[in-house]
Amino acid sequence: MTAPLPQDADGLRARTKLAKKWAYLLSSKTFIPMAGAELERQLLGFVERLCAGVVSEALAQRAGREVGDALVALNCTSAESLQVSVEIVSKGLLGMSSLAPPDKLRERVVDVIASLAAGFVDRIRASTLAQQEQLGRSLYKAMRQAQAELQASELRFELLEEHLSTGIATAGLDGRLVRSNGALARIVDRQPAEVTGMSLFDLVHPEDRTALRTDFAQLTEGGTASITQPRRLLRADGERAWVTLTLSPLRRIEGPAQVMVLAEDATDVNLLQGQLNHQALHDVLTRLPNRQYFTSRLEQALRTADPGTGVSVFHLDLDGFSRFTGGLGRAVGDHVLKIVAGRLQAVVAEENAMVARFGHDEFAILVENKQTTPDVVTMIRRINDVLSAPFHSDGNRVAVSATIGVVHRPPRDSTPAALLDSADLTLRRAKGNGRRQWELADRAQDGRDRRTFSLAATMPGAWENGEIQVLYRPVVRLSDRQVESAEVLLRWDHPKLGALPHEQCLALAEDTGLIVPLGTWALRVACEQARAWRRELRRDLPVRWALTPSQAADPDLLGVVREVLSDTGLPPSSLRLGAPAQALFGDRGEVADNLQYLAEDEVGVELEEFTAAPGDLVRLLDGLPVRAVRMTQSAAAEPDSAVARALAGVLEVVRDAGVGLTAAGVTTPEQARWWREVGADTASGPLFAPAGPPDAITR
Amino acid sequence: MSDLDWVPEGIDITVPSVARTYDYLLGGAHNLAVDRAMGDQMLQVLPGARDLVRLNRSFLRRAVTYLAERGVRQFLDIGSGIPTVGNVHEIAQEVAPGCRVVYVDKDPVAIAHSRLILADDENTTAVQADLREPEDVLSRPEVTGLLDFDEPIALLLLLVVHFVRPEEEPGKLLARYGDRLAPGSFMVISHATADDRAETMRRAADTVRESKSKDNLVYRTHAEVTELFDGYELVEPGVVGHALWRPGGVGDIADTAEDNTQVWAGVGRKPVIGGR
Repeated sequence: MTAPLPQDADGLRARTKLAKKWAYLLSSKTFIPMAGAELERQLLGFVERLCAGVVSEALAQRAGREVGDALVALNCTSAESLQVSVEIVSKGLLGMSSLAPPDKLRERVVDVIASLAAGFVDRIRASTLAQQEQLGRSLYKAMRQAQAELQASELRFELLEEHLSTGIATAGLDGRLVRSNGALARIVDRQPAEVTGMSLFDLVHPEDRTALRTDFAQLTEGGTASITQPRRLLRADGERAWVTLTLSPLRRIEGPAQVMVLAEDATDVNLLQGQLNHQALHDVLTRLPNRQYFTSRLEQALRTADPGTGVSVFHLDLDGFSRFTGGLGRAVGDHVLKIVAGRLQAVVAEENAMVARFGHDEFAILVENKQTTPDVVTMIRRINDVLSAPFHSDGNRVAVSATIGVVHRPPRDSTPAALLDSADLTLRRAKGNGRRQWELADRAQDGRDRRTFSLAATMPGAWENGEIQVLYRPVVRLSDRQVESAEVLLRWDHPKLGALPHEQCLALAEDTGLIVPLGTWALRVACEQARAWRRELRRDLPVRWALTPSQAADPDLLGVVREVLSDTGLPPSSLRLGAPAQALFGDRGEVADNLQYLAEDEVGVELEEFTAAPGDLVRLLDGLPVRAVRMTQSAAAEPDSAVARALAGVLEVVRDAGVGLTAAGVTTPEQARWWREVGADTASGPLFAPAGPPDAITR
Repeated sequence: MSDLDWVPEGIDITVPSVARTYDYLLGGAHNLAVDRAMGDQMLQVLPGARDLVRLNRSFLRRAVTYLAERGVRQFLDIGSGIPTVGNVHEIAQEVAPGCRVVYVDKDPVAIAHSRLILADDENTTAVQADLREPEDVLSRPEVTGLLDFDEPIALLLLLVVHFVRPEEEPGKLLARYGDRLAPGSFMVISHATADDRAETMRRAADTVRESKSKDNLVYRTHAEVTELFDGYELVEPGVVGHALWRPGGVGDIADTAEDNTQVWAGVGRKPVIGGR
């Protein structure tokens, strides 16, 4: 600022007055972000700049432009701002006669004001363009952000759509599905590609169509956010599927409105979960789902699984688990169960699977097979591999194994109950083969087993109802055909199936564990009868009971026999107990011990189903306290055969050892004669008399 | 769903935005034709509209200056709109340089723009969120990261609460913010009213309603606005016309008397328990 402004008090007063007036007019027209005093101070500066421009011709343009620019910077951007500024400043400057010679003043003021207007316009143009540019960038950024969010939201939607068990579809207002997910296809049991393009009205049950049309009309009219109703859908096979159908309008900027369709499987396990609390569906100890939850999931899986791969159910039973609870205590047993639960879950961690605890030591695994799911053999191997890794529990080194029944890819129309039955039967079959076995379900075998098990299951009730009887079959001396003793047999007079013979009764009782109480009962009845005969006939007529394998190995056997003998007062020698040779042969000592003690008590111990095989023979000659062996007719073959001749030689050894021989199942006189020739003392069978009630013996 | 046929609210350039219209009325150029059309329509119905936004902006400046001078260093400005001139952080930082400010608006463009402008200022940030969702607003990392809720905060609600519908219960809504504020915090509200010029204001509201904007004006009476300060001690002179709240100069008051009281304004202080 080269040119000095007039320093007189009047000049300063005039400039201040102009600045005040200018501030007043501007601030009542436009928002200026500062307090009034500050604005006046700034405007006074502007006035002084402009005055300098009037004083010095050289400064006129620059001063004017600078002030015009500064006005815009103060946010005086409106036309009105410019108008009041030009008006008040022009008038004010023209009144300051000391600024320039009278002939120059007017011209100088016009110069300055013209420059102010030019500066104002330049700045406002630049500022407007800059702001518009910023706005454009902001719009772009916001749009891009929105697009990114939309993409993320679409990804989320697609992920949900793909993995939810809820059917999801988009329909036009005419009901035609323009998009649908796999879950919906599974609910209606069709191919996904087939469902898209179908009309929702064709997918619902005919009786629900009118109601659905009403729902659609309501949505189209607007005002309704969404409609949720229970509806029936039609599966490809004509069966109905209950769903909770939710319809929601989807309004779009371009294109006609659409309807969002959600079909929640009403039989879904979620529903069950909603009704029952968590505890009702889970095992407290292992926190695994229980049988009920498993069944519900199985039901769903059967319907929704990919038919190409299906499902597999593994039913596991821990081998010898009672060893843990019995031997090491309950705490160890519980620990083992928890470890097993965790390991089984780990085995199927990669699969779409559920591990459940069914009962005491039983677990089940449901696998919804994928293309990548290992085959059954691999799965079984993995299960037993992880289970067999030893671990420590309460100071004990523990390892477990499991026996497994597998139902692989059952038909889709199987019911969960039938499928679980089949798994259970298969497991029992596998257990029959020993530890760490596994077996695949076999429908024909299942049928047979099912009948057997249902019979076995009703046996205790039948026993209570008196349907099971004790019968006696005479054992005769071959020398004089006199009744020497009586074999004790069971018969079940089944109301529907008729009489079930002794062997079947024993097999059923053995399966269910009923054999121990039932055997004890039979023994007691027989001993009472023998005691009665002694009184009646005034002679000894021993009774003979063939022990089953589990009876023979029962540690309580000796106690039971002693109690029965003492209760009935029957001499021990009047009771004969046969132990199966196979049980003795494959045994680790319990059976031999039992027989030893029984013999010491003078109970007549015999060997059943003796085959004269070298092994049997060695055991027999090894000091077993056996009074006799019993052979059945089939083992002896035809009397004149080479086998029979060889057998005769062996039996001579038996006799020489002081052991008696008795034959069972003799049907012809020739057979009876042969047995007598090879040294048998007694025999039984159809040739002599059938089994019957007690009085059949004495008649 | 895969077609990009969906435009989020606030980015659709065929729908006027409250924030951009406000900017236009304030003399800014951060606006589009659709916003200017709406602003012009408003001016026809309510010729003093420019004065109203100017007076409101002046009130904001005075309130923020007052609070900063009272020692408040944190500001949460909800419904902040497009930053133009005289923004809260500029005013506050003029009093005390360390003041921290969070701008909140549901308009994505306003927020994108705020971020553009605030990029270099570590004491300010902008969040896209809705006043109607207090828990969302208060839990945003930008908010919790910059503001210390154990210290007083000034909650600024200028020309925004009148977009909250009665059924949205503005009193309870604001209480959800108030519950989180430390004693000694402040709440600033300016709120349009139809206590005077009812017919004019009804037409102004219709103008907004007839535009495609989703925001509709809900006027409240002096008593209703005062009620929003329940639980606060009102700073003198209480709830008054926005021009009449501690005016400091000529520009703070309009020539038309009605414009001065067309918006109720007030500042309340959350009491310190057992304190003054």
